[in-house]
Amino acid sequence: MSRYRLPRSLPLLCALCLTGCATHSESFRAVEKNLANQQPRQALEVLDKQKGARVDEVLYLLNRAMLLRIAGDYRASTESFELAQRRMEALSALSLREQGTSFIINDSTRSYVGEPFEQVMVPVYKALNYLQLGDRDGARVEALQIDLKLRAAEGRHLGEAFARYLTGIIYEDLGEWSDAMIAYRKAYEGYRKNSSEYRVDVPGFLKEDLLRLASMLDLKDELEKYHQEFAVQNKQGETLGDPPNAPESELIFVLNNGLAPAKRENSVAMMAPSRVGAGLMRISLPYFESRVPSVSKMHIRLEDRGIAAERVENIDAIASATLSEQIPAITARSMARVVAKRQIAMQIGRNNKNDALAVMADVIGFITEQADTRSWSTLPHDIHLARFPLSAGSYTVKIELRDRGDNIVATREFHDVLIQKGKKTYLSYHWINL
Amino acid sequence: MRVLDFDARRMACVSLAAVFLAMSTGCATRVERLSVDEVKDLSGAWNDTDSRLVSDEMIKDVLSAPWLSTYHGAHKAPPALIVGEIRNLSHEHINTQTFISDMGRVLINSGKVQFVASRGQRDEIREERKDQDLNARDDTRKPMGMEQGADFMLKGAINTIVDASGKTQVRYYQVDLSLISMSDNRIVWVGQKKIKKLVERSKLRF
Repeated sequence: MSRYRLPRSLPLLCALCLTGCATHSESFRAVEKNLANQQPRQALEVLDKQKGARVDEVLYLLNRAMLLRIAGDYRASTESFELAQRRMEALSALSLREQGTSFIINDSTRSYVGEPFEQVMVPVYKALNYLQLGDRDGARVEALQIDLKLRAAEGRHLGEAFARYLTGIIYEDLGEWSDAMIAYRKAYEGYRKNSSEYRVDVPGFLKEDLLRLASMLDLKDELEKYHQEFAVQNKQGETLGDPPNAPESELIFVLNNGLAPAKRENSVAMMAPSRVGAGLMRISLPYFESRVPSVSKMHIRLEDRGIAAERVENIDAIASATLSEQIPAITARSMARVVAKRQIAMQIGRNNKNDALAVMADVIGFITEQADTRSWSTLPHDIHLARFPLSAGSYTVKIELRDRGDNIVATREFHDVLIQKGKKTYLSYHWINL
Repeated sequence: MRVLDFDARRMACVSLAAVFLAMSTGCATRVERLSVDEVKDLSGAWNDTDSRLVSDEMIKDVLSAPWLSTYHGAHKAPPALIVGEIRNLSHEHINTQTFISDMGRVLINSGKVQFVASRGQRDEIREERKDQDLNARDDTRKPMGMEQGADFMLKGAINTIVDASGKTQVRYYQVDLSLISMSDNRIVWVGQKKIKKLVERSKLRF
């Protein structure tokens, strides 16, 4: 068995090569920087320049859709989401070729299809786009898509609660009370199931919705159950309060706060044990780097009235929980790959009786061992929502973004917001500050 | 030896690039003309064939139903129809305009029914009439307030039920159209078309 000695320059060579191999999340920083500077159009330009491999197409389309949404172009955003969905569907079949390539190069060579929760977020944001365009039937189509997706999706962390809550709002807006009730019920179950893990409580707005609809649909037992669970107290201090009346019109404000965590790479280089052939090995695993936003609360002010928004989704927690579940499989794949690469390098050396070739194969194997750091990082860190009952008219809506200490970080104003009689009006804002 | 290796590799790269270039010239966009009646299902989503099936069925049904002869018998003139809202309550974004304009074309050309401009269309017409009032010659000017009122409104909805398990989906579409009398809210005709598809997605790809 021919053994070769490692050239002294090998670690230096590896280090040099590595500087030229930025992972996906690192090259995405330029886009995020533009976003933080409130320049979504420039971010789009940078993203378009970075459009790379076909395997990253879904990710490109998702980020593009999100940037277009942030820039206020809801139609183009929906089109981009649509393309991403079609591509995701086409990629849902297993590719043996990609499986093989990822086994000898790295996981990034596989087509990106989106994590299960990201796949649910696509119809969620499409629905929000339609709602902001005033197309309630279009949003209803997406509500049905959310339902289909949640029924078919595999995995435990899907962000089901908020997705269901949004579908409930859509059905209620269309006067489909029974469907709205079913969706609110499922949202409530979702929030209760995961509230501690995702650090999101059952929103007070959802509690009011459940009480209102249970009363409207005359579901006495259920109403009683909710009263007890929510321990609702009215002004007289009685245990049971009257369910809130349906508002004449309503403003629904969605704050997309910060950016979802970025996947980074953690690499460990080590000497291979002699039984797999002496040489340098590298194991790279992804981890999520949270980007905690400066804002943690939002208040909406309309004329002399104010209301506090509530956190309805913590994407940061859902993404981290998803990755934690995947890490054992990613590690096992990485270990198997490293051993396979060592074997290939040794085989090349043996077959060609050329140590230099074996070293070269080793270096290539070392360099290509990169973690898959792709993730839909233009999603927000968390989502806040407020429901503001109003009468019809034209308003100036002011939002106050506050930090943990309740200090105002920033304020924004939305002028001439038209609230139509008997309808819900939707507004959203993306606050990104890195 | 190393220099030679490098040259050999460079040569290999250049020839590989040449092969790819040669191959890529053979991958130009290909267009094939299809007959509009040809059934070509690609993704399993609502497509032209579904739209055609709906319009064929609805046209046949609406022209043979008794409401038309009853109306003709009573009024000695063709009824005027207006297209109302066709709601898409399905899980897909469906363009309902295609089968509605198919129906409109056949009904108008049959001479048995008249159509008046729908809500979306008439605003533009009224705008033009207003413009004529100011700018057109007297003998060509069309006065306001002479529009023909519709006798019936065509309304409808598309509903779907999707049942899925793994890569297999059963998609059921139901299109319901109805004609409602403008004078007394009577529903004089109800048309229905049901379409069911089994969509099986591939488990493997290249």
